[in-house]
Amino acid sequence: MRYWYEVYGIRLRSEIELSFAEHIPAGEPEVDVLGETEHFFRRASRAAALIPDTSRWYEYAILDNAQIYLRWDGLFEFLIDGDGRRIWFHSLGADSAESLRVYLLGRALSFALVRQGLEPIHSSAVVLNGAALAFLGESGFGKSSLAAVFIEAGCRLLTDDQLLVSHASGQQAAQPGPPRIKVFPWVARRFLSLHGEGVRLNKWSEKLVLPLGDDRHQSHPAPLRAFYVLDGPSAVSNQQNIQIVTLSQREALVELMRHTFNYHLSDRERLQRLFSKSRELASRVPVKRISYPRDPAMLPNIRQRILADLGDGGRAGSSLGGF
Amino acid sequence: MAVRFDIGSRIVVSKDQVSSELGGEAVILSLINGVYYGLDPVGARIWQLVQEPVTLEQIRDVLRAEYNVEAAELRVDIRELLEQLAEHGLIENAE
Repeated sequence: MRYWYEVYGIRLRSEIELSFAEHIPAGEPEVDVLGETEHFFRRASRAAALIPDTSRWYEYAILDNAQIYLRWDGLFEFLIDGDGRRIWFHSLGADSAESLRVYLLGRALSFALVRQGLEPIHSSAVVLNGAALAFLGESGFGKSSLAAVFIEAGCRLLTDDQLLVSHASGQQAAQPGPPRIKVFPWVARRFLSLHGEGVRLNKWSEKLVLPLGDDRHQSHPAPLRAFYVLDGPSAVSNQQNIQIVTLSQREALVELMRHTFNYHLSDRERLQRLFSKSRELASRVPVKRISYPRDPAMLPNIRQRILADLGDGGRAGSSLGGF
Repeated sequence: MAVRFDIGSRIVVSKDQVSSELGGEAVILSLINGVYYGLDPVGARIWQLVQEPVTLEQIRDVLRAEYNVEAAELRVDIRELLEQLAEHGLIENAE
């Protein structure tokens, strides 16, 4: 049995059913997701010299045949083909199947996308009045919480954590990710009115994976209006005001490169492409830096401040204007 | 390894980088290690000058003509920047 999906603007065919509606697009799949056995993975990863990610959360290896091996100990493992066209998966434990889907469509897919010449960005994005606002930030900087506070105000989520921007006819289109958001339970309760729903991302994290309906998720692309780079909690004083500054194109280019979703693939051709695509984005889309105290009660004020910065008069209605 | 240039050293950009000038500033990305650098307008001007082989003395003379800075101070600043760029493989001796 194969299931068909369209996610990040990519045609994906999968042996595992994903937790959102199938969409059968025209044409061949751009990525095939295939289940495999323990034996297959032990053979494929036999010579793998595993490198821990800086987060120590997973390990990876680039194999001699250009395939990429990824392993979350006790959870699951993935193998990505050299051309990014196939991803094999294997569960290593009894953890949530939803967790496997999240990492499949996140980290594992990011390797496939980069191998196909695409450049995923570490960002969550919402749709405001028909255009996408993208929040850039490292893990734990509050991208998803900020997205949630915009959803509370009637915007729809476009993507959570990974953003792909396509360039066509001089426009930058932000592509929709899976219809789900990963947030802490207090964010789910306070801004999404979701109590006791969703499944835990994994046994080491309190974060919940929460599916979003059509009223809270946009499944078609949106023109990209602005990036906001979130300052880290340690760089911000709890006493300070909310500050937004527009970055120069030089600063914008550096931030866009710094926030690549996949920093593991660094061959010459890939780095040239990352530079070139980031430069194009920096020259076409405003990039701003936002600093704010990490007080949960402040989040609605931060939303208002962003709306004021955009000159939208404090309204956050998500009109259905499409791309 | 520390790289040292003297006043007559001929310097040129390495092939192992890509760069872009943006609004009078510049960004350089090393294709060897993925490290990126942002240069302010003066740094960007120096980067422009080293696109072709040039000596530290020639760079100093161009900048002295364009900026109102003491020659000795300028020489130290240029040398520091060039040595940093060289340490990361972004420029090299032209010889």
